[in-house]
Amino acid sequence: MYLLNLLFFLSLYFSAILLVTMVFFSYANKRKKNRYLSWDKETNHLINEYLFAEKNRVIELSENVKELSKTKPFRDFIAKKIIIAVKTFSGETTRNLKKLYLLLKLNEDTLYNSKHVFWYLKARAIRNAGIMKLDNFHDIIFENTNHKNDLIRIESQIALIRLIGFDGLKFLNIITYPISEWYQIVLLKELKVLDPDHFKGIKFWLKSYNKSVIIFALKLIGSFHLFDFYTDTQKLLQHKNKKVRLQAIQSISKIFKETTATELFAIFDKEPIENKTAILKEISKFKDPNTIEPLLKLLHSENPSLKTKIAKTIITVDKNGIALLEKQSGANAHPLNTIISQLKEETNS
Amino acid sequence: MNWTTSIILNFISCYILLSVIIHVCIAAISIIKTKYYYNKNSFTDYNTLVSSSNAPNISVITVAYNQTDIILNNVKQLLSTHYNNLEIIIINNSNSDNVLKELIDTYNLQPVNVFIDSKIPTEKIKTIYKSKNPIYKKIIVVDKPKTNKADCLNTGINIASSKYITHINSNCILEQDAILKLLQPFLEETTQKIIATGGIIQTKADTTSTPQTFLKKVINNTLVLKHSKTLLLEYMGGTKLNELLFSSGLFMVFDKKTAIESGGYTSEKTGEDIELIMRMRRYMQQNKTPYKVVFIPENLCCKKEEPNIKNLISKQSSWIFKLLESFNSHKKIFFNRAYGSLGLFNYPYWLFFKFLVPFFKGVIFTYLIAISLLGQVSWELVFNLFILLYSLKIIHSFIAILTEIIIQDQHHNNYSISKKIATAILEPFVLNPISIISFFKGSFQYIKRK
Repeated sequence: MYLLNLLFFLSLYFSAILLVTMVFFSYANKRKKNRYLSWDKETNHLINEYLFAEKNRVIELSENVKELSKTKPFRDFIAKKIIIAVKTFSGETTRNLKKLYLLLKLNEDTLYNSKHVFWYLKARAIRNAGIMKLDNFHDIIFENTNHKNDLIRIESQIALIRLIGFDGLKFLNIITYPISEWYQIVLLKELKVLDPDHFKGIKFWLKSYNKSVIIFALKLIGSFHLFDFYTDTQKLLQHKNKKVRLQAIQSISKIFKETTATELFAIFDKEPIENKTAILKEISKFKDPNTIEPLLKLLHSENPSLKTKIAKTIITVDKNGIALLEKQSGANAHPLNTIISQLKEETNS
Repeated sequence: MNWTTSIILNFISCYILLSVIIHVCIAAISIIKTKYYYNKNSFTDYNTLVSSSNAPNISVITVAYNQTDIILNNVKQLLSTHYNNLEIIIINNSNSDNVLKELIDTYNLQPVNVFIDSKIPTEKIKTIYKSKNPIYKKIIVVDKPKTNKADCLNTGINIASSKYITHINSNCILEQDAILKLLQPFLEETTQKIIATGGIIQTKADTTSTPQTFLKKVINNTLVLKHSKTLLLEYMGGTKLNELLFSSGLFMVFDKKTAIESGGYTSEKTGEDIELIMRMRRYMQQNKTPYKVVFIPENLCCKKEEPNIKNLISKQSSWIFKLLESFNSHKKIFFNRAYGSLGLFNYPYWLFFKFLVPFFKGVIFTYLIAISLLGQVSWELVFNLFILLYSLKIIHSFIAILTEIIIQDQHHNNYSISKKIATAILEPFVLNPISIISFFKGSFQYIKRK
């Protein structure tokens, strides 16, 4: 009974405390929103002035802004606005905004937050340093490219690329944590906007003990068509990790040579179904008539699902693929007859 | 008070205390994880995936019944989804030919011969249709003789060419970024295999059909509050503890390979998604492969329903029925060490602290009233116990509202705050009787069918 009474009183007190807290936070949020509304006008005006200012024109900060910039909430607010503007615009205009960022000494906040214990503040500071291209943050950013927190890590990796371009990929030499598929997509997107450059270190990355680094290096080879690395990519078709082999299959096809199809057929049998499908997809892109014969051989040995993919590859490579398929033994029996009639309909439509 | 009553009352106290401790822990983890999610989300640009050539394919399976307009709207909405690598598989399971005819006319469909590698056994297919118009190349329509929903979904899995699959009810409207948000965890994880991701299906009040009475408004507000509680105080904690087993109202994306290997949807069971997720979990556990089911604390999908007591009871009792089926078919894992935390923690937690709660409530209320009428305990004690249970429920609601204000940084005016507080105060009177009635109705239906 004592327990019940205790729980009873505790729950009543706690309900009352929660009620008061709710009202308090709601009021605080309302005040914050009103404050932001009044700052919004002020900062928009200031940012617009800087955006469209001529190169050597000095714009003085108003007394109000000077006064407001002494408070942390306003500094956070205007920093966010400047970052959004820099991401939206490009060229000379962003240089003016960088001037404003430095004039307000927001870089000092960035430096402070880049060492913050809260991961999201640290990650945001690093991202801001990258967007504003604050060169003096290079060392801080680089040392965080292998941080245990994935957000800090990836923001540092992106920031490094923003700061020094392709040379920023040097983090691949040191990272021990895997780069997820998602972040590989993000990094490739960052690199795509840069002018293609020499890739120092690809050979080294292809030998990394970190599988995701090998996969990412292979993606770089494929995306930027780095023909010089053909032999290295070819060697990775024999890698013990199936994901590395899958990426090697996809990348080698983007820098393909006459012998590529033969090399892919050579590994076909021992590959898992996912890699086999990838090989067939890539071979269909080559449109090499020499691949028809090995494909027809495979048609007799594989499972029904793969048979469909092989047959599709044949008709993609050869215009007379359907006729070729119809000449095969077993063309009138299931499943090949269904596959052929399906492909006929697809070709006709 | 005799010793039997004393023991039972002490047992009730211990159960309440244990339940409070577990719910507080899950709520605390959930709040921390939700905060983490929102912070992390502020760094995410989903457009990166939309524009990437490395974006994965996903097959959306939808089963068409006799409502032609609903399915046409559904397909139209799926076609306008903000994601290109999408395959839309519509399984026609209607009695009449109207739905199929409309689909054929609207999307210029023609019958095609498709070789299907039936990895999951299903009933025969009549015809498969694809569009002559390349704009609609994403659409595949499968005409089947009338069969159950699980069979239709399995047919969809067999036909699907993508690595990931999802199933959407035709009356659900997807949020634009829903698929991107659900695919992200699959691409982000490096250490464990993600077998499924899920986000909330929000139920919105259908105000068009009938006028809104006070009762309907109250029911709708309580449902919104319940929804917030689940979203903010339960599911994220569930993800962290990997205990999202029988979660209701989720829009889910599955890893196709795991779904096939675990046998796909079960025709004998009515709860398709919960049954599939349970089988996938068992499969991963049996194969000792580290896995995770990820929850996204956002409304990714919504459907309109008329908020009335009859609808609520019918929906909840059918849910109880589905849960009973699932609990029964997977009873083998109950306190089974071979299934690790799934058997030792997750299953018992769902059974004793989620599923059986309405039953316990019903029994405890009846028992307390009975013993006080018999004069074994004072009315004051019974009244205090009721107040305790009531205030615990309110605390849970208040924490959810507070979390919404702080974490989601939502601006609430005085009126909306007062409305939410009033709803929290009324909620136990509205939803408790409904959940107790639904529990017994669903259980009787299950026993009757057995």
